[in-house]
Amino acid sequence: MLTRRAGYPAGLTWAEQPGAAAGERVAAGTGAGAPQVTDAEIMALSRRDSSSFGLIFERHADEILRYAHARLGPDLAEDVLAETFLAAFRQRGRYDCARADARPWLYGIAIRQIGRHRRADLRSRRALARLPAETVTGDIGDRSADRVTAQQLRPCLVRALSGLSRQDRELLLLIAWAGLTYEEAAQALGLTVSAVRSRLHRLRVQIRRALGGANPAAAILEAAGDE
Amino acid sequence: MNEITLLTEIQPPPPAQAAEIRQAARARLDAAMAGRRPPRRRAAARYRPGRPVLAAAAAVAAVCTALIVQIVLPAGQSATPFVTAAWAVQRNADGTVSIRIRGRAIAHPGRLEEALAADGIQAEVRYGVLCTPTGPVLPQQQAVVKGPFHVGPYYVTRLPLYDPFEWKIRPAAMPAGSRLVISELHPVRTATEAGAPLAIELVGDNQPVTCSAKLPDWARLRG
Repeated sequence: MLTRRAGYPAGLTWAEQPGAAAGERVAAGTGAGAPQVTDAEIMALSRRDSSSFGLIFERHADEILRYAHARLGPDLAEDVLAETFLAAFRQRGRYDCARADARPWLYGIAIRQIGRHRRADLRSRRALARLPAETVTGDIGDRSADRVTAQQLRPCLVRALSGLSRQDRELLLLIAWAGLTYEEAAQALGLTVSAVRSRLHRLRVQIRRALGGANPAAAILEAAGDE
Repeated sequence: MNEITLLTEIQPPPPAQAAEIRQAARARLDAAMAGRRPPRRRAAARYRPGRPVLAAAAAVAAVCTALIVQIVLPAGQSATPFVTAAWAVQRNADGTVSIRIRGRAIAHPGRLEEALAADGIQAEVRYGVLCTPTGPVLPQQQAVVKGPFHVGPYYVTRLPLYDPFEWKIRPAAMPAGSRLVISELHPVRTATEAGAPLAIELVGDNQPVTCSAKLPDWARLRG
């Protein structure tokens, strides 16, 4: 059993839990049921011991990478991932340790990094729109109806995304692609939760109009069922 | 179904080269955490397969690899070494396998595992952490691992900051179902020591290990 070093929170030893999923680090306590160490605790530690910050990378790099890749493609994903964590490392002293989860903060930094590559962002969206739509047949089988419909509507959806302001697009994609909650998205973008709610309501209406106003999903599934 | 769900469904898939991208980004962060200047990012075209620049890079890498083999491996050893710029694995005539680490870091730990597996050594290689087995190491460790290690509950050393470090493994002495856990922590520099802590332990195949990004007491070298 590892021993606790001076300066660590009582009862905690930083460790990876054997058998934990890749990238999932937890704290091995001195007894059963030891509490999981929060990002805020790691951030606080990293101010005294900079190498602790590596745990933040281990916890969240995969998620940030996936988002950066979805936004900019593989060429710039490494750059955004590295620059996001380098910036976070440099700014760790300013992290609000009242926020247990560092994801919204990291996404906020990642968005700023992505914003430095607007042309690549545009190219990536154009490429996404050009992907061939999947053919819908009468036998959808166990495939998700949502997925089939979305693939059919992809060019329209991407066009609708491109027609939004940058801040609106960031908000939508943080919710839809990064899977952040309204509160987390609000933290990442520096907005209030009520502002996020009202903006999302407006954006959903805007996208619905861009897709034709009615419910295009129903039309597509109906056509598939007739075949 | 709402508009958010539709957008979620068209999210591009995760990158195929995620592990490679992640490792490169981590290397830059590690440098910053160690107080060094982060290395420059790699060329953006790196992740686009089939480009002429990749073919040229591969050719250059092949030449460099050949040169490194000539430099780091003495004569009389087998002609099937596994070499990267960071480390080299070589089976010797006496059946031992030499591992030479250059540049303080076990870059590409997955590839090192593969290289060792090709020489009959089941290994788990971790970088950025030091691993402690649950329970004692297997008694055959002394016969399996030969090198300038500090022998305590586990074998530990410091990879020197500038010089290569080499040790040998005798695969024939490894019991069936055992594995070597090789782990390396980021370089440390204190008043009494400097270098990257590296530990090696021979454990049973199902024997769990706990890995920590902190330097455990058993890995501290004093005096």
